[in-house]
Amino acid sequence: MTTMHTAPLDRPTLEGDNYLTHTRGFRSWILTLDHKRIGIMYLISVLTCFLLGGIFALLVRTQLLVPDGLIMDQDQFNQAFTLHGGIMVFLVIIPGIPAALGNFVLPIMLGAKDVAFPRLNLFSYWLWIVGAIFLVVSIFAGLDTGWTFYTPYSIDQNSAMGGVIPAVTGAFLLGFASIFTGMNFIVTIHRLRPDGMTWFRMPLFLWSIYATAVIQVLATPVLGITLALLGIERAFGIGIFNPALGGDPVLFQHFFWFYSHPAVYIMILPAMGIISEVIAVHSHRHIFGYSFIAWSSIAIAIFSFLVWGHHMFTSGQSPLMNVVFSFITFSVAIPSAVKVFNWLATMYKGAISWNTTMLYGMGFIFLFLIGGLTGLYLGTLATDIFLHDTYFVVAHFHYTMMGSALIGFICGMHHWWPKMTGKMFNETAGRIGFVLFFVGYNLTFFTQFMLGSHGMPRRYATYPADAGWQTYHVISTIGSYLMAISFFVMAAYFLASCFGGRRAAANPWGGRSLEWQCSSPPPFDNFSEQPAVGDCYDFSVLRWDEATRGYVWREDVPHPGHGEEEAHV
Amino acid sequence: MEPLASTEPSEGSGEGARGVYARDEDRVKAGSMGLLLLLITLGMLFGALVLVILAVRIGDEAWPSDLPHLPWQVWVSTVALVGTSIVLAEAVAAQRRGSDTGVRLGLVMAGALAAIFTGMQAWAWYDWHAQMPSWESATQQHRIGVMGFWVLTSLHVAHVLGGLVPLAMVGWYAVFRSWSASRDGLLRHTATYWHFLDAVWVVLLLTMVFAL
Repeated sequence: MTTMHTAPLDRPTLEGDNYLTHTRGFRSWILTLDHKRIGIMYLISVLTCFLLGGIFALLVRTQLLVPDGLIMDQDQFNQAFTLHGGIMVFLVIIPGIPAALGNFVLPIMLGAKDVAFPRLNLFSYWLWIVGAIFLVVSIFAGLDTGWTFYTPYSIDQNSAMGGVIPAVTGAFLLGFASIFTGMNFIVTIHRLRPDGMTWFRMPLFLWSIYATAVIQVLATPVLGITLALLGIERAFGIGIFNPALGGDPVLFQHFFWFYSHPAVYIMILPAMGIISEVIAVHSHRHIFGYSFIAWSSIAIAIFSFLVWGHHMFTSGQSPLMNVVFSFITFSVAIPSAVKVFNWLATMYKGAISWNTTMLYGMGFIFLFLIGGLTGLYLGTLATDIFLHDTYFVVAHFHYTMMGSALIGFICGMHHWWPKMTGKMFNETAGRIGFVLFFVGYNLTFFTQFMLGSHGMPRRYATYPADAGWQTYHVISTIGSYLMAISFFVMAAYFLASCFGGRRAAANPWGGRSLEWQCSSPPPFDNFSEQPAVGDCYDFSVLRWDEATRGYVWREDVPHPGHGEEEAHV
Repeated sequence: MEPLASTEPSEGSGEGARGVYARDEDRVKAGSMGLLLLLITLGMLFGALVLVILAVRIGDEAWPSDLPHLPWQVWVSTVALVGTSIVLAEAVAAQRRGSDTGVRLGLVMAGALAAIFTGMQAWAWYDWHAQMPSWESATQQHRIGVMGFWVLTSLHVAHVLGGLVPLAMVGWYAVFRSWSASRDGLLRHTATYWHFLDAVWVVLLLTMVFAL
């Protein structure tokens, strides 16, 4: 017996055979069909890219310490922010949660042995790697278009250098890796849910992954064909997007944002799913408004297809369209606010564990609130005209993309780290890391709201010395260094936990979803029998067990796996 | 040749040794859903491409009348592709009736027609290339007209080549190997994919005729 699916949760954890030790050797990893190993490979790859993208971010911030620029000329600066954006968007935030964490936990949360198409899953991973190589190669060929590949920059042979074709090829391949992962998750959720797990008994993380996968499948092909046409335009000079040949660069923007705005929700929705899990588990309180949170994920996915035009208020599109897109943009605030209110209501009167994971969860809510509320200024036509292409926009999307999506990813890493590795990380180090991060983050980006509202345009390598912007830039840069330190602290305690960390119990946080019912780390097959499904947010059936340093099933509560109806559903 | 009745042990143990699916039937259902999602994705891909071309074309009222004519091979390949779809539908119907010969005949004919389609496309490209105006002196409309043909047909042919793989696999199993319930699913899925290719081709052809 290698799993603990229906047995009381206080059985000893698996000692020998688990997914990390089941087979050994390099080949057993690179050709694995095991969703957990593929998830870990994604995780390592994404974190490597995060390091690379982070280095470019620090270069950009260091450059702006002084008005005339400190370390780069203007072309190098353009390349640095382009590669920072491209790597962070395409190689870190988009795949971070669905491909890495989603791959690891989704099948276990469903009580399944794997995803619906394990071979396709492995193919997606290697396609992603090939795409990532193409994108990173553009560093050497030169790429200075910004991550949006806007025409006519991207078709200008002089300024864009040779990196456009490899970069769009990479983004095209990454897009299809994302599509295949999304397809796999949709089919897995539809076809491999266990008996008793109806749609409204699924963990909310699965709802968010499902909504994300729908966007991946529907929107990503549009980006694929748009980038393919951009590559053809650049190579042959046809005149579709190139204004010098009679083409329309705004047409490119429409098709690009038709994908790339939904892509914002590909990034943020899974993070919201993680927060729903983390807030409930670490508050030890039933999630408030389950169905509202679930439906709000679907609502956000639908709205995401209807708001792309708000990126183009200054592009010359018709005033009527601007008004329509502005109105729909405000509508997105409703499902987003539904989630925030329900998370707060869940914490109310909960027994909150003030651990690192929960700190990141609460940090997410704070930062997402700022990111969301400042989005309203940009959704308003009059203020957007003033704030467009300033540092206000940079600050806003970093509060949503980094402060929310990436922090959701980091929060999820902390939440599932004991499950993935079987080891606990050092809590004190984790809290120190969080404080460093939180202070550094707000120093970096809150000052950029001021910069933007005072008129500092984005993507400029230098700025006038008498504009009064340098103080903000210095504070912002110091904040970015603090953040970098916090990430090294995080890497240190995660790595240290692998070698010397305390052994993790099967259920160290007190979760009820199925991944907490198998050992840490999980066995190769996850579950040898289909696990019994209960209310995944009813924590009253669990109690803390000092001996195993984890949560176990209360002796006075009948276990659903023992043939009795669950008392607390 | 062996009969098409299921002679292999059930593959209900699923992917590798992990036993993702309890029954073969579950696996086929998952495959059907995966295929449906793939076709939706590809539909978005081709749809977006056609939309870009229409957006360019509709915004340009002065479309030249001296663009190259569609090669005659395009029409022959259309007949071949429609034929592929029809004989695959017949093969699926034969499989439901339990007619081994019908399945084999349908698959062999489908393979032959698909090969004709691909060959005709290659020939059409050759002819198209011969009609191309000088690129340097070409107007924007000429460039879009010429390149539109290349992009539409090559994207479609790429998916046809992808469709030849499952067609060859299911044909190989039908003619030379044993048959099992999961092969029924593969046959149905292959036929569905080729019906999709057929439908997409009709849309692309209409785009080429009326927009380019």
